[in-house]
Amino acid sequence: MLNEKAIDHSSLMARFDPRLKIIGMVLFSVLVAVMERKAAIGFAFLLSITMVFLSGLKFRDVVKGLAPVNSMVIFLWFFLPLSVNGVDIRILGPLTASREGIDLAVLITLKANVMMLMFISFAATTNVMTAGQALACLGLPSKLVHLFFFTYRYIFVIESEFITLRTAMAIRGFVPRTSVHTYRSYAYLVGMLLVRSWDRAERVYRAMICRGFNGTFYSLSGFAMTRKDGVIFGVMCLWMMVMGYVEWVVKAF
Amino acid sequence: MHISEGVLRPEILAGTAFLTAGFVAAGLRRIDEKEIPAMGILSAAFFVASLVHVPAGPVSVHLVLNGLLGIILGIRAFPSILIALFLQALMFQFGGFTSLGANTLNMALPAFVCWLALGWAGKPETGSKTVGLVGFLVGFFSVFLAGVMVGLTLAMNGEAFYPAAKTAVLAHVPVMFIEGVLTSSCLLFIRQVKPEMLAGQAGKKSRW
Amino acid sequence: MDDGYGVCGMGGEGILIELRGIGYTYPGRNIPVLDGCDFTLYESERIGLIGSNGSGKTTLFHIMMGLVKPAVGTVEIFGKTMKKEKDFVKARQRIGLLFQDSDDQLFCPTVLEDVAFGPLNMGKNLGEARDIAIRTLNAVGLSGFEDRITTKLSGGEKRIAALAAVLAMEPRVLLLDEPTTGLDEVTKDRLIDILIRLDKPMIIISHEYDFLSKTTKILCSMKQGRISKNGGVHFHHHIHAHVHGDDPHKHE
Ligand SMILES: Nc1ncnc2c1ncn2[C@@H]1O[C@H](COP(=O)(O)OP(=O)(O)OP(=O)(O)O)[C@@H](O)[C@H]1O
Ligand SMILES: [Mg+2]
Repeated sequence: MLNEKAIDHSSLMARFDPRLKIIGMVLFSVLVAVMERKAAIGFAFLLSITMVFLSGLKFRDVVKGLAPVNSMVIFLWFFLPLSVNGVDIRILGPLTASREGIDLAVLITLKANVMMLMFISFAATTNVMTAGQALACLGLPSKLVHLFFFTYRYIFVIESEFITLRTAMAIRGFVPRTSVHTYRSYAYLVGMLLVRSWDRAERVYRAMICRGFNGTFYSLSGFAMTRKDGVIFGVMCLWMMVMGYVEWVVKAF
Repeated sequence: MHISEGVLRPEILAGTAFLTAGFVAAGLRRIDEKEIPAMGILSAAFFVASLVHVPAGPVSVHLVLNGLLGIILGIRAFPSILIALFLQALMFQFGGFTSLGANTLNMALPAFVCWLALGWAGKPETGSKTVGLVGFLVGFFSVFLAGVMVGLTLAMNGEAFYPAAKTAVLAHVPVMFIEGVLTSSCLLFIRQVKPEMLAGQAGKKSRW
Repeated sequence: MDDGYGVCGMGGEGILIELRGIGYTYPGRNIPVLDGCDFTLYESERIGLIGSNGSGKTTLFHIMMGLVKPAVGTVEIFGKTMKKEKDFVKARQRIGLLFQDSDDQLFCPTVLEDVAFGPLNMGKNLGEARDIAIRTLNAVGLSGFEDRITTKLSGGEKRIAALAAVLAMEPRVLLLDEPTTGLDEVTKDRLIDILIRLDKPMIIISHEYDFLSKTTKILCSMKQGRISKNGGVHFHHHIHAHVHGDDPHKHE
């Protein structure tokens, strides 16, 4: 069920310094979030699609990554064209929709996908643990980062426990239905997972104090920035300035 | 329900992110350095449990379990949920980066409220009938409130979003009942098997 | 580092670990796991500990490490009576415990970081810790595993990596809790080789006589909350010629 995505380390984005990658992604996302002009979002699209290309991703994976965002977008398309007041245009027979409503839905669709493309290029080229370390370097509270590490570390262990338990249930003839019996069985399954992880937490903590843990974590790894990283980041920033220029200065479209 | 990127207006994103940051900081202050392994492993268990799909008539819904998390973790549910949502974004592209604050607030605030109102039931002396009832209420209201929060967040985006907001709230209704039944049995299970797990935040004492 | 223990065998003629009259019952249980348990580990002794599932072997190790506090009895380590948590904090740095489940022990992202975790806690600086970790990994035959993700190791590799993590602290005594579970014959032989070369006093819990006979000299068994040395069980090496012919066969 859970699978860590294999990262293609040969791509340019994969070798891009994770700290700069995060800063770039955050700046970009915030910028697009406040933008309202389609032309500016078009420029943003050019940057995010370039980043996706530099990530060496398969087309299919990109589409898959965009799916969750677009399920929400489609949900909104059912409402916005009808719920915004404005000039009515005829779509099909008696069905009409407002031009303003469609405009809003289009804007949201563009923004959501452009931002998600950038996020995909970040998520698909950065190891989760590396992302955590980079966030720590960028000043995220150390408690939060360590919490993040432990959560990620044990997701896979607990998931395999979950699969074992569920298989054991299936072997004894359990078929999920819409019934109280099903819900109670799932409740026990969840309860068992939680209790086991509670016990595991105790053992992990014991193993850590056996190795002298006293509440402080030390880290071995560091990042090294190269000139190439600076160039990529610089280009990203320049392009974001162009986006801002189109949005606020030229005010095109 | 995750609100995705690009939907909410910047001022709503900023406001919810600000509130979430405050609650997360408060939650972190409540976690002792030595409790981090335990908190992380429990968060991982919740992350996995929330991927479980249960049948609901013709479709299947995934569990939320934010109420249960609130009862066990108290205010520390905030950092735990933030991390879970961030991981969901990284691993499955659910939600996204800019909407992280809003989504965390929508899930964690109900968890926190349930703990404030009903957290006392985790004390070991509480009878099993009471725990069962409280479990149902926790499961029911944590999802109900989460639905209302999602609806409110969307509605704040502008009048045009009202119909979508209402539908989003309604979509939570079947899940409320399922989570109620499930959380009830789950609390009873934990009460029987590992009562100290519930007692921790009921007495607000640390584990070790 | 001066840990207050100094030279070996101070006081009681080279006694490393001594348990006297230990009794322990898990909360919520009525039968004690350990009941008047006595045990001594001498300098340069290698002891194999057997006992049925649930007989309290793991609990015994955890009592030696101060992870579980016994209801009655005394624990003496390196001739010093352990009274408070603080006493154990020091003692733990000199006793290496390998846990029954490696997933409990390996928690860092990469193997190198995990092995360096102990040395860093003992106050080594980053460079030293790194060197120790690399050296230890080489010694157990895991060179090249430094940057591997701990979650993605096989069960056997996890076991050896966890052992490296324990050895990196350069403990004087080793406590190994079922080190062979989940290992294939090749990895098991490698483990035997590592343990024989180590030349440290150790206690090994295992259900495998064969493994214990190759790695330890003395066999103890655990029954009804107590330990008996050479309790009626002796190692007997047997040469086992496997001439199977064509028929599949089973060992009884
Ligand atoms: N945390 C706990 N709470 C309650 N009982 C426990 C706990 N841990 C262990 N026990 C019980 O104590 C007894 C001894 O457990 P222990 O783990 O020491 O056995 P063991 O000899 O190591 O067994 P195995 O060979 O299966 O590893 C068992 O009956 C077990 O059920
Ligand atoms: Mg054991």
